[in-house]
Amino acid sequence: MTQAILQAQRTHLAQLLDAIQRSTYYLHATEQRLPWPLTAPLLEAQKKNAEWFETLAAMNERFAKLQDILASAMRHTALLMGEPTDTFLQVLAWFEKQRVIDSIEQWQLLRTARNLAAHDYETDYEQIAEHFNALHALAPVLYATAGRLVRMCQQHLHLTPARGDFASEFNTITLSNT
Amino acid sequence: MRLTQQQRELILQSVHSRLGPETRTILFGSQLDDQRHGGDIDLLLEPPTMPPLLQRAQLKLALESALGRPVDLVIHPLDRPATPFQQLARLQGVELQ
Repeated sequence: MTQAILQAQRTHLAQLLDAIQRSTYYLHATEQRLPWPLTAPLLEAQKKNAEWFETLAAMNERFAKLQDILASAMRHTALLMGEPTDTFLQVLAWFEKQRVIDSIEQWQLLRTARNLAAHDYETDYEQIAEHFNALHALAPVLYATAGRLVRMCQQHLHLTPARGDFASEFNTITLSNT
Repeated sequence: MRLTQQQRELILQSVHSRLGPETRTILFGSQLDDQRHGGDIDLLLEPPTMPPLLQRAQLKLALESALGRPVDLVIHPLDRPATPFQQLARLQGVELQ
């Protein structure tokens, strides 16, 4: 890797770390706006409340976005640390060994659970409630992973988030979920 | 049907071990068309009650790992009325046994 490419990779990863902090902050903020656990009667009662359903849509999107950014940042971190990145499974295996993710299986389960979500159940309030309660229960796994990844980049690559605007909130959220 | 006997057995083993042996398993969609190639495996599963989200996710992962291709699950718990889509899948599908 030439010096210019290396520097570009580092800058890109610093921006991804920033995006992780920002996405963590916003997913957490969205969660705070809802009364947990959600129930079918509660959702049914709010079925015409656009603000409620916009919050739920945002939670779906932010959960997926945080996991996707984490995946992208893990790939770039592995690349900069000289680890194999031919397949994402290799990347996950390495981060499992470094204890950044708990296990490959859990990572895949998070992804599958989030994708199973909104298929045919738009009007089945019991299913909608179950889906969001599951995301709420799984979000701390993403927060903890995010915290460990950012700390790993600081320690081993001496790389910090590009702007760090959300650093203090991010630390509070991730440390309370570690 | 384009699934082999071995693939059908793998599906039934995974479904029965996770959702119970009484769960009906119906194949529908493109895998029933011998003229087509590749594609997802679409399954309608009918357990007595709705399994939790994480259990459904684990089953999907197990099936995709065992079969080496994407699997779409439609779950119709028998304690609830079938949606029109579930009724269609049942009418057009073939039960695996």
